[in-house]
Amino acid sequence: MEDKKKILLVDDEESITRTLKLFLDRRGGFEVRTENRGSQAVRVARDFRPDLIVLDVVMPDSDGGAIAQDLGEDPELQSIPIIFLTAIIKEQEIGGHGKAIGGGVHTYLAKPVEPDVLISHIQERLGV
Amino acid sequence: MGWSASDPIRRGWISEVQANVDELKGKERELQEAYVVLQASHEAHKSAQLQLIHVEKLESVGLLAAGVAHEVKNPLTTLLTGVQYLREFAPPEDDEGKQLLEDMWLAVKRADSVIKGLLDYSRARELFLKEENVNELVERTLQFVKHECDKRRIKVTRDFGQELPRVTMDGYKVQQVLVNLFTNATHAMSEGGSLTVRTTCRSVQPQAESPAGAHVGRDTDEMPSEVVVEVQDTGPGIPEESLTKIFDPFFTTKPTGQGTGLGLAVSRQIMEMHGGTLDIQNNESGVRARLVFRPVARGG
Ligand SMILES: Nc1ncnc2c1ncn2[C@@H]1O[C@H](COP(=O)(O)OP(=O)(O)OP(=O)(O)O)[C@@H](O)[C@H]1O
Ligand SMILES: [Mg+2]
Repeated sequence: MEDKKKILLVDDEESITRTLKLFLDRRGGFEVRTENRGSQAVRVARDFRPDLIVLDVVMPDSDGGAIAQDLGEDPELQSIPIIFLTAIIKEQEIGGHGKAIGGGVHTYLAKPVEPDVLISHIQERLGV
Repeated sequence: MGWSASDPIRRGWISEVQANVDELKGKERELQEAYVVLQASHEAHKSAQLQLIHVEKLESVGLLAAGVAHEVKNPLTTLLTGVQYLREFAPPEDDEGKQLLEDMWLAVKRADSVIKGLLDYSRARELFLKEENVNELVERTLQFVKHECDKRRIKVTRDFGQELPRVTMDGYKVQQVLVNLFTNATHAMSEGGSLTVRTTCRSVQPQAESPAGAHVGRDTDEMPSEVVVEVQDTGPGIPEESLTKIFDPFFTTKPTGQGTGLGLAVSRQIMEMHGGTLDIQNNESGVRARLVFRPVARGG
């Protein structure tokens, strides 16, 4: 397919970005790039121009909330939907779905997220 | 699509899964050790004041849960994604291999539910309050156990009160309470039986000193009322000697994998956070669990 939707996966655990990328690649329809350094997320987003970002919340060198804030301040990036993946809290504790951070309204999913559930959230956010 | 061990990506990936399994084994050991420590501390404090024990347990479980959750949920994410990948894109051809993947999937789910239980018990002391229709909430929750009930030939009877007042609650947490009660009931009826859920609303006797009480005699519409949910099973009941322990964290009579013994501890805590109660009794037919919510003003 020509216009594959672009997804940026940011998580400090390589095993997570690698398996998720493998899965998303195989499911098709997405062009996936991964980044393991939270501090590089915004730079990579500028370069890659993803349609959606899957973002880990807790990373050693920066946190998902701060990254979302930075993305929200960049006029070119602020409309990119973000799906947060969090290992330390459960969806309900952060209010679940659709909480506003930075510029946009984002989705929160608790790890370990079922790949099918992640995909359906990705599709929903991309409107496909 | 066959399994191809020669594919370098997959080979790398399989060793990734292996590494994660190893890591998880280590974590599981840590978790088991933590359980032992927890239980020991539980014993040590038995003689202290009840309330004090409760607080201390909450704290130790809280520290444990926060630390362990992050470290375990990440490898579980890799495992879950990996297992799903294999199921979908590289399914083994033999039944044993397929069964193995199903078992792995369930094992990850189980590890996750233990962590969730710990988090529930120790954290989330805030409530996300909203007005809920109790009958609808019960109905929605019954759908979660429908499959289990069908499988065990358990007949579900709904005895829903009409025109119950809406109750302000954290619907998600109360749903957790109901799921646990339903699950306990279905576990108690492995040979089949009947599960009855009754919802009622009863007027609360005004207390003499309560300012609201002053009006009650004159205007019954303003009489506060409390919503009650009862879950009745036809299982064997709870042995006398267990009755005092069922609300203790980690008290379970179920085989490993079926129960962590946190269900009722969490459930009672959730009801108390709502200003309500949860009690459990044996009766003629089996076990009856009763949730009582904080009284609400009628007509409001
Ligand atoms: N309806 C019931 N009938 C018979 N025994 C029950 C019933 N409900 C609870 N029990 C007993 O109380 C124990 C504690 O229940 P609780 O829900 O706290 O933990 P669990 O069901 O064993 O594990 P978990 O809920 O954490 O998966 C159970 O192991 C069981 O022995
Ligand atoms: Mg239980």
